[in-house]
Amino acid sequence: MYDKINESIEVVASFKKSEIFPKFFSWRRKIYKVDKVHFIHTSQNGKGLLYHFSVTDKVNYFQLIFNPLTLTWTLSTMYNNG
Amino acid sequence: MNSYFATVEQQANPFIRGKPVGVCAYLSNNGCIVASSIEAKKVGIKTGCLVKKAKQLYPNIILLENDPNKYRTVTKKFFNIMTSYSEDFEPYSIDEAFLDLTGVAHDYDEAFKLAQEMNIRIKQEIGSYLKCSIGISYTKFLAKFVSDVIGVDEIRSLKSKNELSQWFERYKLTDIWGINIKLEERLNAIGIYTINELKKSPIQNLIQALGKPGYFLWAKVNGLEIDYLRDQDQLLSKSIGHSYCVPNWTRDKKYLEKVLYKLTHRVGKRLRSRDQLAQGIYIYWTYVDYSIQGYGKRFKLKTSVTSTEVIFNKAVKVLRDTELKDKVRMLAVGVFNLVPRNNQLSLFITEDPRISRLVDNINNVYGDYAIHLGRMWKTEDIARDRIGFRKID
Repeated sequence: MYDKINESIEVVASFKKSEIFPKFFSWRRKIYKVDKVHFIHTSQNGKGLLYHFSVTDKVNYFQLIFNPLTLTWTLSTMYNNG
Repeated sequence: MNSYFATVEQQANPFIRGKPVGVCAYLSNNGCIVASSIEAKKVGIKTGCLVKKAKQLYPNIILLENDPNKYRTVTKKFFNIMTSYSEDFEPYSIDEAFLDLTGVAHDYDEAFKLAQEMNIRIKQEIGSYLKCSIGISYTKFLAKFVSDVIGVDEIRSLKSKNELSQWFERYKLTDIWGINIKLEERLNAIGIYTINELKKSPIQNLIQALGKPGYFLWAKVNGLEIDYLRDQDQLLSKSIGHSYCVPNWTRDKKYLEKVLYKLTHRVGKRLRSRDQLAQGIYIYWTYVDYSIQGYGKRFKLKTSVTSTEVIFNKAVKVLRDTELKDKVRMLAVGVFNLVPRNNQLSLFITEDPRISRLVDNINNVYGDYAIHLGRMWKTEDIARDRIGFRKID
């Protein structure tokens, strides 16, 4: 079941060459470790781009959005495999 | 690309891989599935199936709304991979493209190796779960035929005319590009029931029955190249339109006007981004009761238009002046007879496109709907961005 969340989150990310990978994020006082980034896509946000990361931990899928203009992260969607 | 939208979703979320997945235009029971995963097809859920029907066929089906940005990103990436091999490239649709390898590959073995390389690069550079079928042949039509009929993630070549009959004997007339059920009926009427019968049919009979398209069809199945790769400009559609399947079926004209305005806003924006003017407008709608004929009107304009307001005012007049015979299921609006914008001043001032252009400019910088007219207040959830298979933008 997919749930729309759209809440601001805090993220620890690594920057490698010209790419960025979220490693951990905290949401509702819980810390989630990103096991794998499966897919990255972009969407237009006026003149700039938003970066969407499709990531998973052991049991959940999350879509995280990074806005490079405001340097903010949002948890947009989640899917629980349980 | 195979089961494109669904496979991209499975690439993004590994927990839905190997499961029946339906990507929908809308999740409401009346919404329809625009792409089913390979697993969903196996349980009988095909593209076009209604959400409520899909739930009956497989109650645990995973349904999700389509996410055009995901598919556009993948399309852009696999188009880039293809064009790194040859500039002779035609982006046929969101999930399909042609590449002319003449001069790049010297024989079929070399072409096969390049195709394998492309397939591997798609998996490495975009996503390991993505699957594509690649057909290789000496005409555009035959390459598409091969890619359409081979298995998922397969690469096959049709190398010469000698192989044609053998390939064709395994497939139906409607398996080939350009033959739908209606055309099949017309071919049946002149005694053609198989692709091989079509291939062997006297060309005069086909021309007599179908006109010029009869010749094209005959040439294609006989392996004659009559087509060419079209570039982006040639592929631009001759009309621009948007439609919306209203989730809550209604006769409420105030609501329908809001939908119409949102659709017209998108039509106008695309028209202006192509730097074109429209000389015709169409509007049509269908009713919930399929037995009642939907209503549509197409009309040519005396002057070319480009602003959202003018297009909307002309279209909404049709809606206002027509009595609705039932609740509306789907509403569509569009423009046709498109011509390049010129700076010729009109003797009679019919529209001022400056406001529309200014709004476009602001939204292009600050994001869609950063500024919009009051008519669009609280229409965020109405007629959101959707994508069709034949669209590449």
